[in-house]
Amino acid sequence: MSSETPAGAGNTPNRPPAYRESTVAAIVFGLVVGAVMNASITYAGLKIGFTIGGSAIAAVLGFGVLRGLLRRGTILETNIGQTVASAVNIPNSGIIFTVPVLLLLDPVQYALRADGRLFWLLTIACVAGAVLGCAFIIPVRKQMIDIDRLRFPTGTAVAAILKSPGAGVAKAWVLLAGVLTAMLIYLPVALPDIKLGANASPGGQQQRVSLWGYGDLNWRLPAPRPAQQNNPADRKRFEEEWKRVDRDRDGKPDLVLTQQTIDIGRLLHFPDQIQFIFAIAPFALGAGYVTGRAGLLVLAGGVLAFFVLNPFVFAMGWTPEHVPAAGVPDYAFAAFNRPLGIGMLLGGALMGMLASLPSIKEALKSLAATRGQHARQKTELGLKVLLAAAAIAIAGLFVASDLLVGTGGGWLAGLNPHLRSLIVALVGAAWIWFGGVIIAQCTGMTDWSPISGMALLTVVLVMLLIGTQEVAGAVLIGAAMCVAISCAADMMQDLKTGYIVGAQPKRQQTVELLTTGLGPLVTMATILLIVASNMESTGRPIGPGTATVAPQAQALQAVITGVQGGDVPYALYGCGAVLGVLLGIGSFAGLGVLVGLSMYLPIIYVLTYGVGCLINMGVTLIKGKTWAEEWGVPFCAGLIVGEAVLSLVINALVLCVN
Amino acid sequence: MKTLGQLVLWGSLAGGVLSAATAYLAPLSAPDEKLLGLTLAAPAGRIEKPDAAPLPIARKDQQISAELLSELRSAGVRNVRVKQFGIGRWRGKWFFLLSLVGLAVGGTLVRFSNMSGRPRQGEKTSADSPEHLLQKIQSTVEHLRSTVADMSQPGAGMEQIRHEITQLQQTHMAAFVEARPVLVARLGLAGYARLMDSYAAAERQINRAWSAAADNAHEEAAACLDEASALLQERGSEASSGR
Repeated sequence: MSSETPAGAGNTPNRPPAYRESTVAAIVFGLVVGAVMNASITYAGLKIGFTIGGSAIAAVLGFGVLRGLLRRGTILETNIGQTVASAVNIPNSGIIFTVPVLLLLDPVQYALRADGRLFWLLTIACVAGAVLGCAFIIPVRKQMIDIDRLRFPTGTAVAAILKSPGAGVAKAWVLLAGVLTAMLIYLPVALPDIKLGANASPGGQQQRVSLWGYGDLNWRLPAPRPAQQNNPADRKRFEEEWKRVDRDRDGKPDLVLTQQTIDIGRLLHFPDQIQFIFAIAPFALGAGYVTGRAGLLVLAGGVLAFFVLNPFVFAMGWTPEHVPAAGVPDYAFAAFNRPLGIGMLLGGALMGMLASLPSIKEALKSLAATRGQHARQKTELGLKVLLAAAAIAIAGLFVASDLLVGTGGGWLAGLNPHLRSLIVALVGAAWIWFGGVIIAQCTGMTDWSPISGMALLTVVLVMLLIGTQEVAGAVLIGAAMCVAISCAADMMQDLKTGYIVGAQPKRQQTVELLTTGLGPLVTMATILLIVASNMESTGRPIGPGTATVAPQAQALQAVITGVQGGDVPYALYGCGAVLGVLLGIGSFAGLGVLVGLSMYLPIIYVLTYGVGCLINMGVTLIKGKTWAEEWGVPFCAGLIVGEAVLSLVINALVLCVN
Repeated sequence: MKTLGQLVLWGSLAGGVLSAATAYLAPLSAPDEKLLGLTLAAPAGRIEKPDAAPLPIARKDQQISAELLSELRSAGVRNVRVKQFGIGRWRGKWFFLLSLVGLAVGGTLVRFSNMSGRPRQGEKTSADSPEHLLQKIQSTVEHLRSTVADMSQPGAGMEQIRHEITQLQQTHMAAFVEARPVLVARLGLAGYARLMDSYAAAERQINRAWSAAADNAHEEAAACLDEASALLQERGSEASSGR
């Protein structure tokens, strides 16, 4: 990669050579920022259970470093910097969801050591996943971005940041106002995550001191009117009402405003079985606004699940008798909503893919047509390069699974072990392709990516193939899958950003493909350090009893033990898939993806997201579409970025405090 | 027809989801032999405790035995959730099938009403027809090219380029993208994909010209506008070729 590659080497080879795009400074910046973000977010993710993408933060930092310190960065150079940084950062979200589950299940059998085989095989699989995710998604760029025009809210937001210096002072202020608003709103949500563990109580127990959060406002439900002591009916009324307002039985009415949510439903006296709670999430609000009217379909799915299905199921007595009305949303979410949602997602994605076949075909033809062109005339990475990258990655996946998967049962029992591993690697790769396309579609339409759902299905699929006792093999492919789909979604967001600022796709694709493999190395090395440190201090590698409780991996652990216990609702997945396919007959083929996604997501985020969509529609109605885009999108981009930046700062603080 | 189609579609979806929720529900009114040996997927029954939360009679993963069955029945439990799926036991199966038919009918109605609306849109030759929008985009790009060519000092008109491209993006380019239904009706999905493939290449060059102008890269902005112009001319006739 030359430091001064000719700018705009698009369709004519005689371009002026001065415009900086893919430079050494941008790539080094991206590598350093990406690695630092990756390590800090890995630690914080294992501790508090969520991760963040790095594009927006890297875009902001890029201006500081490339334009501020080096005083020569261009918009497109900063874009390359953020592309590399997010490519190196993003694999952590797939790894911390999957790899630690082995340590939770059996810390001795699955011990992670730098000189151990398991560690390196998992690392190879994750690197292979990262490369596959990028290589598989590049060919659909034209279809999703150029032809179908998917919105990719985060990609759009990052583009707004990159364009802010040239878009005029007023828009830069609007963007900044969005960032500050998000930080102000989100600060009390994030602060309690920094638990100060300094004071030792007299009993020798470490006491955790939470910093100030919304819960400290002490906004509670109104207490029931006191009962007249000599009136039994009134006393009964009082007891009933008290039960309703004090679900946690702490003797006080429950909080309306908790650390992360606001419970409007209980304030408005909605029935207990209807959850009408909004997450305090500026990101979701911003993403909803950027998506606009189309996002209402997401809201519709959530309303269907939480306002129709769950209360109906409760009314019909289809929930276990010991589950109170207030427990119905959580019970139904796990028992029906999520499985049906995942199935609908799959069916909707399949239908969307079938309907898009003509566009996919044209996009591939267009890619293939560049074969004879001069290297400088090509705007996309060629199919040969992508196929070679995919072949190397699949070979890596095969080697890793061949060395890890035993001779257990499953559908492939009795086959030659190498053949089994080959089938696992090929099926895994095919599933990664399908999953990558689904996730890219989801993020393109809504900004949400149902990674955990896909991981769940991957683990189920691999355990069916090689036997339910082959946990390491299932986690290996699951980790590759999660990394791949995270990278695929991130790459499409970056390519959308690139499209809006006029970057050349080939350059972004090249740097992303070349650098994304570093991400798993950084994450796995960080996990190794954390495990060593935890073993030293607590005698446990990870999970409960350590500072890094790995909440996401605990969720996957529950799934694995569920699969081993025969607790997989295949029929619900199937029903959901059929519904998803048939939904695609209507307005547009991907409708099942949107509805499925909203059944799969917790309603608290769907509702906040829906508010964003409604605000967009209201603003469009009052001020017109142009105004809503011109001023609303930069502000909402600021909301998305502000939450991400603050999350990173909080992550860094978590790292420092601990 | 579209409203009716949407009603049928969403109503059937609600019906489908509701009936699917009964897939793993085993009614305790079923004969014993159909229930014995099944494994509970969720706790069942309820034992009231005076000062504590109620407890279930049977825990998750417990197998249904004759004793448990009778205990659950005598406690008034009507359904239990089990791990095994049985098509014969699924009480909502017919309703689910009906919902599938409803989804297909509703979806077809919506699709037909969308398709019948398209030719009317396609027949329009108003100022916002796709080919007119393309011409507008092209003429703005030509205007910008001549502005750049006439510039006495490189970099002097960069703000004008940014301003005009911003206007173009918000008006004609946004409107062209929204003309998708008209273009799909005219060209078919494959033809639309071909058109948008090359239009997107031109749009990307225009976007790049904006970025270059913002970075005061005069030559790059000019080169991008030249390329955009060439791409637009090349494909300009394609939008109306399906007529």
